[in-house]
Formats: sequence, C-alpha cells, structure tokens
Amino acid sequence: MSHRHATSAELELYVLGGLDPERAAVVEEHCASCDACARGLAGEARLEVAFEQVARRAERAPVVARPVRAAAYGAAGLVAMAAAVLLWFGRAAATPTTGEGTAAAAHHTMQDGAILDARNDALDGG
Amino acid sequence: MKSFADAAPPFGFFSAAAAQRAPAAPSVAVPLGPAGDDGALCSAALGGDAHAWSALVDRYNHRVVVALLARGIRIDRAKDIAQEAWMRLVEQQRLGKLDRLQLPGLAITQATFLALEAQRRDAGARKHDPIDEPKIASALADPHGDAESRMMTEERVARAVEVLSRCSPSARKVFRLAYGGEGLSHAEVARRVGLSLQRVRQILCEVRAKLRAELEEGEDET
Repeated sequence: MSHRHATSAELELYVLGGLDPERAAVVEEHCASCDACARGLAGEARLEVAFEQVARRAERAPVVARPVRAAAYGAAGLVAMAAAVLLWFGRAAATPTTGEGTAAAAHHTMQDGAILDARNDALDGG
Repeated sequence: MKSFADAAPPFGFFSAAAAQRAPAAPSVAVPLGPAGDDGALCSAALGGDAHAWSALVDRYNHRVVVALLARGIRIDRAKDIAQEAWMRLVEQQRLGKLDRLQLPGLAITQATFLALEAQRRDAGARKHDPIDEPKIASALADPHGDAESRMMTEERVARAVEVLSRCSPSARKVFRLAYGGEGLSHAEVARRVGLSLQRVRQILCEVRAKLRAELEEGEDET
C-alpha cells in the first residue's frame, strides 16, 4: 500500500477520470485503506453527482418563454381593462340619470333591485 | 460477493485493466463517431455484440464507480459492485429481459440496487427475507432521505446554478455537455467543442472550483 496521502487535486482528477492509470491505481489502493482519503474521495464523488443536478437544473432554468408569456398576459390584461373602461363609460352615457355621481349610481342599483324583486314575486306566484 | 474472477464473464469484456481505465479513451472494435454512436453501441449491445458491451463498459464504468463512491462506498467495493452490475445487465440481455439500454443510468441504478442489497445483508437481515422493494425504490429515488435536507440541497443547487450562469459561455457549454442530459465523456466534449482533452478538464476544474463553495457550504449542517 502507498503511505502517501492523496492530494485533493489527485482526488478531483481521479473522479474526473483524468489521472493516468498508474497513478489512479496507487490512489485507489491508498483510498481502500485510508479513512481520510476515502472520505475525501467520497466528497469529490458527491460533488460530481451534485454537478449533474446543477446541469439538469441549468438546462431547465432558461425559461425564455416566461417574459414572452408575461408580456402576452400583460397585453391581454390591458385590452381587457380598456374594454371594461369603454363599456363602463358607454353604459354611463346611455343610462338616464336623475342625479350625479354616487347618488345616480345608487338610484341605478335600486332600479335593478326593484326589477329583480318584481321578477321573483312573479315566479313565486305572488 | 462473487468476484469477477470467480464468475466467468459472459463476453470476457471486463478485464482488470478495463476496471481501472479512465473513461476517456475507449479502445473498441466498434467504430465510435463523434455523435450518435452511443445509440448504435447500445443497439449492438442489445443484439449481443461483445465488442459493443466492452465499449460501453469502458465508457461508463467509471461513472458507475463514482456514483457508488458518492454513496460512501469504498473504492475497492465500489469497483466490485460496478463489475457485478455490468454482469447482471449482460445476463439480462442474454435472457432477453433487456429491451432498452439507457446508459449510464441503467448501470448506475443496477449498481445502486446491488449496493443497497449488500448493505441490507451486511446489516444482518435474515437470509430469506423478501427484498424490501418500496424502501429500496425510495432510496434509489431519494438519496437524501428527509425533506429538510432535500430542501437544503435544492437551495444549494439553485445557488450553484446562479454561479454557473456567471461563468463564460464556453465554460457553461463544456459543463452542460459533460454533466447535462447528454452526459458526454470528456473526450467527446473535447471533440464537440473543438478543444483539447486537457483544456476541457482544465475548464471543468475551474467551474468545479467555483461551484464547490456553493455546494459544500453548510454541508455539515445537513
């Protein structure tokens, strides 16, 4: 067995598959019986596995469609708001009012309520 | 565990030299092109081609061993388990039980299963206990156990992705090719990006150094 501890660079290169076969064999032989170096090798290996997660996440990460989708939703929202404003103004202009502002709105709501009550009464046979 | 020397290898593809060989330079009879050769090799292996199996072992065995090392398995044991995993895959192919070959994932899964099985045996389970399939399946799916540590890992991975996004485009490309879905060998990455193998490894070491801090931060707490 080799008594020299493996350096962190050697452990990293081993995991990357970059050590020459002779040196790799020495590192393996040493790590098989040295707890500290075995832990170091396991740490490098865990890092290697974690990098696969990082790469997978990075591949998913560039969601280029998101800003486009947000912009589309934003545009749709603006159109909807504009339509609502136009409808409101159109309706306000077409509705005859006896007053102005909130008083007119309250009157309008009361009228609607009275119509609904009359319809309900008719349905109940009252 | 049954050693490779005891069991007659189905194709004799797994020599001691192959077990130690770095994954970079496969010496195979099946010609390897820069792209798409993996599918051809897997098809040939599924058809029982010994050279194709040999090439696949050369190419992916190191990654199987590294996956086992990451689980805290000693190097000598990890190499034995990896050998047995390949033997099982070849056996399954010969019995016609293998209709698809996705590597290195399948070999890693097989090796992890064998490792867990061995762990269970070592823990003193009775000889004829049925294998606890759900437990093994959940261990395969989630090596981190509890939700808290998984969340911590997710956090660290997210930070590492951020660090990666600040690397140069060429470094990101090399990293993505080596560790991403394609999972190319370093030699294949070098061919793909037109750099030397040494330069590719140098780039990977640089990116690793940047990501290491993010991924290792707080590891003791989890």
